[in-house]
Amino acid sequence: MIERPQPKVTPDAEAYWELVREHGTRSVQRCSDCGSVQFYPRLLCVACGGPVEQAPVSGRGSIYSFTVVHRPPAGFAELAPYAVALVDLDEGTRAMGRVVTDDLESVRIGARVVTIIERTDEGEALPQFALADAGY
Amino acid sequence: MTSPGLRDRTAIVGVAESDIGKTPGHTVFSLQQQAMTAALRDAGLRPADVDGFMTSGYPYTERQAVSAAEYLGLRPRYVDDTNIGGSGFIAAMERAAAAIECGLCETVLITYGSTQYSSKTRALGGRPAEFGYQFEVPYGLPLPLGGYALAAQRYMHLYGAGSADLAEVAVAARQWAQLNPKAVRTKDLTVDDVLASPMISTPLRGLDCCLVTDGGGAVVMTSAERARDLRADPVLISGTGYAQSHESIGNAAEITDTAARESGRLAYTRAGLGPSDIDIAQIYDSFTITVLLSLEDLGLCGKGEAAAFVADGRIRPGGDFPLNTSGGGLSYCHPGMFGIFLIIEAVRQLRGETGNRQAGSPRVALCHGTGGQLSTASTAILRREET
Repeated sequence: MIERPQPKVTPDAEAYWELVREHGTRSVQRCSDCGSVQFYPRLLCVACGGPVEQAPVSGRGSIYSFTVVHRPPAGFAELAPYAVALVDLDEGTRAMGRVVTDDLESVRIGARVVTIIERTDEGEALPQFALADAGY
Repeated sequence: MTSPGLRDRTAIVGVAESDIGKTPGHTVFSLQQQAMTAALRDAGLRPADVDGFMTSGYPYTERQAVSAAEYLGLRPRYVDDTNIGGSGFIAAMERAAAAIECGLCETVLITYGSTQYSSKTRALGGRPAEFGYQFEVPYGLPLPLGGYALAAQRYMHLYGAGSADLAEVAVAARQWAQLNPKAVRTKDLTVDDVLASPMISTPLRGLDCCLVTDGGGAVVMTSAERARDLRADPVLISGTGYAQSHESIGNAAEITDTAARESGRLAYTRAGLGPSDIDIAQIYDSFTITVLLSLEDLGLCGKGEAAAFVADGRIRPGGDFPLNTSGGGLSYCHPGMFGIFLIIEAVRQLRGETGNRQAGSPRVALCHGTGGQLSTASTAILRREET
């Protein structure tokens, strides 16, 4: 079996992945100077160059767009078909994730989602999404 | 910022493609040599006349322009191998024009070669989950196709277009390809055939996607003044524009509003022309959705109106708006970075050299390339010199 690609964590993203792994939390960066919110993590604020803090968020949001993948890249064959979505987080910014569901028909633009954490046997953790009314 | 400084100052004087389709026995370099030799012959020039060289986008080697120039026997004093994806060769013309106008070089050769079919290097995914992609690749989005699928889904949601509207782009391309003796895919194709092709990543089906072929191409540019003394009728570069909005699709502000809006605005302003002046267009059709988004963002129709624009055979052979008259990346060939073939076809149409598929006597052609996941956009407006 071909393994799924795991994030190659960069130093500027260590705080993000640590919050996922240790606290089961999705987060964004907030600028201490101008208050801008950004994702993915950078060293500094892209709006003003100010210092940033990793700020946990609710993990809730709305599906901005999605696609149901029938012809997956290497490592994802056993999951197909599966939905990958871009989600507008309630706190601002957008993030990608799978919408983990058995009900692909209910994955729609505008649908409300929550964050769930997918953990592998190797201790890796990935933030994913689930439909908000699916009992999570 | 929108100075017409480069307007009509340079010209394309030679174009050619190499063998295309399946090219076993070729390398990325030999394809470029074949294309270069034919393009220089078209221009009435020799390799020794080339003092500027631009290429990009093939695997296997660092210093791409340096290694390709060595193989081709060139010793250029100006090189460039900037890789911005499929919009690359149209953007290369902009830099070539600037280099020629500034006197850095006199004759620029732009080449491309790819053996992606024969070497089986094309894969959906295949990108390391590093840097910005550590937040996308682990989710299993096929790349680059998935980025276009996300855009298509949202486009259909916002504007009510359907899969049959996307399919029309593929059907029109096939009908043009049937008139192009060099086209790879020429079997009859209907909208129903496209809708019956296997789903890849909703809403994009197999026949919404460009081909995977081998092939190469070459374009020769020089000053407009010098071009008038060369073999072929010069095709002037009237205006160009480049813009980019993101690298990976998760970082697009609004995925249905592409960088084509800005690259097109720059090109029109610099050319002193507008959408209504365009007689023929060659627009990168990496996927059917790419064409609909580009038509709108280039102002050739209003936002959300591309489905109506392409309906009723308007972009098919004989229609009011000749588009992708080679058959495009969907049916002619697609070695990976199709932009150079957009230029080649536009030049041939402006010169009236395309035989059965000649779309009247166009005076002004628009070429538009899209790279990455709707990430980069380059527009060029080319013009036949009035005689």
